[in-house]
Amino acid sequence: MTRVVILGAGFAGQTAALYLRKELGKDDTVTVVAPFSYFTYYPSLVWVGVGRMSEDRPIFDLEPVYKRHGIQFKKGWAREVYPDQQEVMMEKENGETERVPYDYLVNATGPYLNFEGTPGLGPHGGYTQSICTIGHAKQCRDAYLEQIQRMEKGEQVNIVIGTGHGMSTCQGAALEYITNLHRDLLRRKVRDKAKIMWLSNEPRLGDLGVGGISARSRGYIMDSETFAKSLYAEQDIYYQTQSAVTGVEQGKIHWENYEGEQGETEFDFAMLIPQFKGRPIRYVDAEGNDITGKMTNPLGFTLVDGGYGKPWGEINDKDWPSTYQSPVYKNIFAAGIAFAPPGSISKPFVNKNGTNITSVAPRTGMASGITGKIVAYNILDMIQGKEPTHREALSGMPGACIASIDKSTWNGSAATIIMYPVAPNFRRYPEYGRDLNITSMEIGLAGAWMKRLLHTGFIYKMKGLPGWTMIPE
Amino acid sequence: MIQANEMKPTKSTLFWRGFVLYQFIRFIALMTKILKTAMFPPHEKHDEVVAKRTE
Ligand SMILES: Cc1cc2nc3c(=O)[nH]c(=O)nc-3n(C[C@H](O)[C@H](O)[C@H](O)COP(=O)(O)OP(=O)(O)OC[C@H]3O[C@@H](n4cnc5c(N)ncnc54)[C@H](O)[C@@H]3O)c2cc1C
Repeated sequence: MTRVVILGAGFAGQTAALYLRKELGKDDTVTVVAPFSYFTYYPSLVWVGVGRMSEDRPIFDLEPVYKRHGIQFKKGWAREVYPDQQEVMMEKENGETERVPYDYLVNATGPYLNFEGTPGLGPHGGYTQSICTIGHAKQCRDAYLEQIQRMEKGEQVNIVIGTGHGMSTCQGAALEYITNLHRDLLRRKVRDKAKIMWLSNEPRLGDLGVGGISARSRGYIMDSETFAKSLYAEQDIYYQTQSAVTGVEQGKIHWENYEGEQGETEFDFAMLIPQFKGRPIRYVDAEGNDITGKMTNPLGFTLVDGGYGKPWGEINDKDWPSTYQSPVYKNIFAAGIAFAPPGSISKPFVNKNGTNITSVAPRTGMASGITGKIVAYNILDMIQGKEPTHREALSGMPGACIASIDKSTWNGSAATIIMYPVAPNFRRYPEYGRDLNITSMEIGLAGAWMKRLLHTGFIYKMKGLPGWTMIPE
Repeated sequence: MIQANEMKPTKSTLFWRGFVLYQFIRFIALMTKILKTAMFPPHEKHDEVVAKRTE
C-alpha cells in the first residue's frame, strides 16, 4: 500500500492527484491537503475583475470530484514537513493540527502573494487591487465599478495596471487585465474619462517575464515589444517599464527605475501583481533541526533537479528542472509554481541603489499542469522500483498566453501568444531561442473563442469528467 | 510614461480581426497548433536528452 500526499489543489496538484488516482491500485491512497475545498481557474479572474463574469464561474467544488475519484481530501494548511518521519503537519480551520503520513509527497502549493514586500500594496490594508485570488478579483471589480460611477459623472480617472514589486512575475495576467479594462470602458462609453497606464518591471515592453518573444509575421520576424507597442498604441495606453514599485500610499505609487531615479505616479485605481514567493512551509529533520534552507531557495521555492547557482548568462536549457524530484529526499517532488527555477528568463537588473528590477520566470497554467503530470508518473516509476524516467523542462515545454481583450462571442478579441519552448533553448534554436514554426502572436476574434474553449475545457478536465485525459494540460 | 504610436492597425487589419469566417479558419489553425504542440512536442529523442544530461 502506497500513500501519496499532495499539498495544494491548484493546476499542478489537481492534475497530479487525478493521474495518480487513475494509475494507482485500490489499496493505495491519494490524499490532497488544501486550505479551500474549491478549485480556481485563475485565467478567468481577469473577467471577474472587470465585472464581465460572475464570481462563481471560475470556481467549482472539489469535494464531489474527490468523492467520485476516490481521492481523500484534508482541508487545512500544510505548515511543516518531517521528511525523515515522512509526515506533514497540517493546520485545520479551527487551529487544530494533524500529522498526515506519506510515502511520496508532492508540494504543489503555488505562490505566496508577498504584498508585505511592497509597503501599501494589495487589498489587505493597502491601496491597490489584485486579481490573484477569487476574493481579490471580487474586491477589484467592486473598486473598479466605483471608478466607473465617477467617470459616468464626468470625472477624469487615472488607472495604473502592472507589477507591484521589482521582482514580480505573471505580467501576462496584468496585460490581460489592462486590455479587458480598456475594452470594458469603451463599452461603457467612458473610455475618454480614463488615462490608462502600464507600469512594470519588464526590461522592455512585451517581455512578459520570458525575455520577449519573436515570431514570424507577414514576411518579417516581429518582436513582442513591437507587438505590445502596437497594442498599446491602438488602445491609447501609456507605459513605463524597467521600474520597481517601492511603495504605495493613497493615490500615489512610488517607483524606482533602472537609472536609480525615484518617482511617483498618481492613481485613482491600480491593479498591481505582487511578488510571488514560495509558500512558507518549514522542513524539519529527525533531530528537530530546521532544514528549510536545504530544501528551498531563499524565496521559498522548492529545490528540485535544476542546475542552480549559475549566473544568468550561463543558465542554459539543461539547467531547467525536468523530473521535479528533490535532490535531498527522493520521495519529495514539487510541481507548478512551487518548484524553484534556476534563475530568471528575462535579463536581471540591479540599479545603483541596489534595487533588484527583474521579471521573475513565470510558471504558467500549462506548465503547472504538465509538471503535475510528470511528477505523478515519476512517482509511479518509483513505486515500481525505478528511477524517475519522465522528463519535461520549461526549455522543452510549450506555453500559451491568450490575453483576451473582450470575451464576447461575436465582438470579442484576444492577443494570442503561443511559444515553444517557454524558456528559450539557444542550443536547439540558436537564432531566437524558440521554434518559429510554432511561436506566433496575433490578435483577433479567434483568440476570444480559444480563451472561452480553454476555460470550459480546463474546468472539464480538472473536474475529472469522462474523457478528461484526452484534454492536454 | 510613454505614449506608444507605433504600428497602429489599419482599417483592413481591424476588419480581418473581426471577420468571422477568416477568424474561424484562424481558430482551427491556432487550436491545431496548440494541441499538436501539447500532445506531440517537437522533443529531442529520449537518448539525445539522456546524452545531453550526461555531457
Ligand atoms: C489572474 C491570473 C491570470 C492568469 N492567466 C493565465 C493564463 O492565461 N494562462 C496561463 O497559462 N496561466 C495563467 N495564470 C497562471 C496560472 O494560474 C498559474 O500558473 C497556476 O495557477 C499555477 O498552478 P499551481 O498549481 O502551481 O498553483 P495554484 O493554482 O495557485 O494552486 C496552489 C494550491 O495550493 C494551495 N495551498 C496554498 N498554500 C498551501 C498550504 N500551505 N498547504 C496546502 N495547500 C496550500 C492553494 O489553496 C491552491 O489550492 C494566471 C494567473 C493569475 C493569477
